[in-house]
Amino acid sequence: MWQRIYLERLKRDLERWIERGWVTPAHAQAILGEMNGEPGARHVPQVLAIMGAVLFGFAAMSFVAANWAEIPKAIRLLMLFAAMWTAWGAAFIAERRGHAAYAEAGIVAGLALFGANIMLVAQIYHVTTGTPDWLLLWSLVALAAAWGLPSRSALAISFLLTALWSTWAVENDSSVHWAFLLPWAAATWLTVRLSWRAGLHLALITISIWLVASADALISLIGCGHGDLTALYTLVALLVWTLGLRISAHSLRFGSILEAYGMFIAFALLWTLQIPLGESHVSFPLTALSLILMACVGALAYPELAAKRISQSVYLGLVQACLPVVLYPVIAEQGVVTLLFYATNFLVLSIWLIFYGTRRNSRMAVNAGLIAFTGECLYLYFQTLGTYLDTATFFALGGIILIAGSLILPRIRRRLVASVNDGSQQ
Amino acid sequence: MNTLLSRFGRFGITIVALVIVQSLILAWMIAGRVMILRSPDVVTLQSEPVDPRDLFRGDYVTLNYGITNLSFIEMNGDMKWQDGDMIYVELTPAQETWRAVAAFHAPVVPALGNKLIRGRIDYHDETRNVSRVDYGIERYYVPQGEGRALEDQRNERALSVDVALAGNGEAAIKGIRIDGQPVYEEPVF
Repeated sequence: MWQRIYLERLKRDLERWIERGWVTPAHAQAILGEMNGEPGARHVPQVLAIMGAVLFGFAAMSFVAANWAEIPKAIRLLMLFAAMWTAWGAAFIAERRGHAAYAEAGIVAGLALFGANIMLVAQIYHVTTGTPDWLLLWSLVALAAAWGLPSRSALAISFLLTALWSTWAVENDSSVHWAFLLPWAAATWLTVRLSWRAGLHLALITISIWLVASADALISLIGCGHGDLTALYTLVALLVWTLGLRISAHSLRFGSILEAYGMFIAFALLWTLQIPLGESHVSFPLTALSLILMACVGALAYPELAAKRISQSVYLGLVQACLPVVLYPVIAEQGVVTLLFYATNFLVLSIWLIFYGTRRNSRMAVNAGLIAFTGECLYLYFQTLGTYLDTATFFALGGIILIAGSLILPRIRRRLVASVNDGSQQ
Repeated sequence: MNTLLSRFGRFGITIVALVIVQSLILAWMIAGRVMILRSPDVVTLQSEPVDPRDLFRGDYVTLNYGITNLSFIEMNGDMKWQDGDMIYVELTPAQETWRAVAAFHAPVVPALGNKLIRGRIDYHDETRNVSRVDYGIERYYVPQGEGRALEDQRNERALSVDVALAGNGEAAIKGIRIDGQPVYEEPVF
């Protein structure tokens, strides 16, 4: 889907660039030809080979699960050992012959068979392990393969196994699973070293899973409520957003991803602050952590302001977004006051996000701001009017608002996107 | 090293290293179990019925033992326990099987004729001072579709399990008995 959207945008841009004389029609045709088919076609064998290796791994695990008694244990072990060695051998030969896709498939198969062998040994000797340490072992071997070869597939496997390991460990133990951060940090460092965008997505998704899985343990550790932790996570998301802004100045590839994740998660969490999230407690660790995170946001964004890569209003908006979050333990549990305070805050920040998008030439931010603003208006409508009107009036009014919105909002959006495009051309 | 690098490249050398490391890890796992299975210390534990909702799950039979749920008030040794604690349980022979007589946080030298088995507390009930302990021998893997018969024997209390013990108390299933008669002995390989 993203490829198609990008292609349509590229076509429009190329037409404009041809009109302005920046690109010749022949060059435009060549660019479109390159985009239209070749990269996709290039990726097909690679994807097929890797999928084949994944299926092969599942076949090995099913073979283990069948526990086929007809074959002696030693032979079964030898078969899977031999399959593992063969997979690595195939990876080596494929790499030597220049078949990168098949080499990658061999690596995936070698790692999958290693995991299957761990399970087989456990099965043969009836080992019941209450701890998921074997997943860590598997993950570390995958990480070593990713670093040594280097291999993006092995890195992806390592991320997935690390997340699985941590989720399982959290289920067994009610304390925060800090150990996750070590292999995660190593894998993220390797992602940056390999300059792999999809890897950064995996890093952000896995750390998000860890944060969600660790919520209860962190609540016990800090001594706060669910809402307080949500506020704290909002500050973390704002920090990631600011970090994305900093990195964008040097590496747009990674910076834009961090910006997008930080923005969407921050806004999603900012929205939840207006709904009741259980008890809230003012505590020293919570206040200290919140203030430190807010200071980090300010300090990280300041060099961007000083270098005039962001405007004063963008800087102040980011810092201002932190303030109501820091105040959450005080304002929470005040009923209508909490709703009004955080709803107003969300509406103001949505408008600021649209402004931010126009300043940063980001259509994504403009669209996100518009969606957030419209969504919040609808939410408030449901909260305030919905309970007092009968169903017919309720839906009639809702219909009028939606129709009015459908007429007005696209016009506003077109105007704003046009101003963004003008800004990017200047 | 340089000759190796030029001949096989970083890719080739890493693959050789990975094959060696993976094989050593698996060999270490196998060797650990083989050593326990060859240990002369073997105890027979009575298998208990388990909750019917937790019957045969896929390809293994869930095993509960007489020493799985420990009431520390009725035993000697340490009294203070919490979830996740490592536990060393002293076993003594009682007719054809063995039962728990004491529990400790650290390994101790058991009384003459007794043995020590190592486990981890899965759940501790503070009010009754009772713990559920995992010994790493709670699953018996069987070929697909062959678990039901063993489960029936287990639920009739006809099933007992021979458990080999390492010097540090680590346990491994060595064999299965029905009505006291060995019906299956785990080959080392």
